[in-house]
Amino acid sequence: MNDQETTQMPPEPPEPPRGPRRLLRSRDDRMIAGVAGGLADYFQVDPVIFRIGFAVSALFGGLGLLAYIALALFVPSVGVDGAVDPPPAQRSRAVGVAAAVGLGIILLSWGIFDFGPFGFHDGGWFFGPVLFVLAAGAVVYFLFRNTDAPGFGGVLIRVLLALVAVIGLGMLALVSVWAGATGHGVAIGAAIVVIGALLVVCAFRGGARWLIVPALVLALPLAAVAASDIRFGDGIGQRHYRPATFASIPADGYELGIGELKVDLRELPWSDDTVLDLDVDLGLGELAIAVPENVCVSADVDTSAGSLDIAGDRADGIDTEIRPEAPPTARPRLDLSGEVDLGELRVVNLDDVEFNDHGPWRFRHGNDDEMRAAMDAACAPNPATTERSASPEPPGK
Amino acid sequence: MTARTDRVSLVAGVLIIVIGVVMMLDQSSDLELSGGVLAALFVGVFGLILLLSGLFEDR
Repeated sequence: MNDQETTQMPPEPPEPPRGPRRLLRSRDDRMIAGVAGGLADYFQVDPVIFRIGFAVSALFGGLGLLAYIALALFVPSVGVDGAVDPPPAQRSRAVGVAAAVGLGIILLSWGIFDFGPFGFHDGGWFFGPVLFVLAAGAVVYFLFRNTDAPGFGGVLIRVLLALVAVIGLGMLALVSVWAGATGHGVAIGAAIVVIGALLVVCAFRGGARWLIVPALVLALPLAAVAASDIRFGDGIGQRHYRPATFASIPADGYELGIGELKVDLRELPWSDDTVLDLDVDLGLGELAIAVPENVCVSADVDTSAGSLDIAGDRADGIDTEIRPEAPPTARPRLDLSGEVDLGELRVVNLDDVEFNDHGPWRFRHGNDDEMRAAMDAACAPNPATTERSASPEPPGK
Repeated sequence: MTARTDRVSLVAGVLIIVIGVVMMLDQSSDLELSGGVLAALFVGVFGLILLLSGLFEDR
């Protein structure tokens, strides 16, 4: 009996042929994409070692994160029945394209923005981490977009993916605005061309229509910045000036890229024969100028979109300009020329407006009549004077 | 043009290349385009892509 049982035992399965060990992402031992588990299995060590290594290296330059993303995209994984599943970049053309775009963005952020034309002085340092997050978000999106988790989990994943997409596109738009306003829009134009070329290439492999979205998200803000002629290079923030002498006024006037530009001219030694030419230029924000009540203002100012207010004489809208002329014999007089691309320009001729360096400079509202009356009195013709400059070398333009 | 060719991606790609080239020329000051022209260009391209998406829904 025992002999019979022994003879009926199935034969031992043949040992599979030994080949080189293959690096596979783990299916069972995974926190995110099974990279650390796969490496640990390959090197026969504890996966915690690799996880700590990735986490620590990600904090120092982000190289570990980049390596993890690359391994997650390009290393095959262990399948359900022990078979080898192809890597995501090979499984899906879209993921492959996303990986290429993501890596391109990372190279841009490290290779160009920090060390090339987007130098630190332009804030290029800001885009390294931003674009890195953008690339990581794109990869997360393409890894999990086809997740069919049921119920609340599925909804949560979809909401998360939508959030990632919105944040990513928002950052992309921000990059485009920044590049355009710092004079580096050519690089963004080139990126748009590359995306267009990718679209054409992918069109013969089934298409990749999703690439239209990032292309337009890059192009539209760049066009808006180009149309409004905003330049961050002129500075960002708050600029408050209170010159005490005419000589201290810059020869080319005052300018600011984005923010709040306030010029208080009330402490200047205005005399009865003073004529001051002043240029002001603001890209985006608020520009305010204060003059003494006895100074007549002649202005030639315009805005692409916004409002202009010259001592109660107002205009607002698109491509608006205002040119209140003063009699050529009016003294003292400010000849103001300026531009606000997008925002507000105000000239106030009141002596009791408070100047505050640390907060908003608020003018009293409802005093247009008072300002207009002061302006009318200041601009009353004075034939006894002749036009002379305030200094041997006139300030301003 | 094979069955796998996506005509929307193809035309959109060409249009986006055109936009990219126009933006490069504009940013390098080789071409000075006003906001109105740029707006018209973008609306036209966007509309054309939408139209193509509707016409070639057979993907």
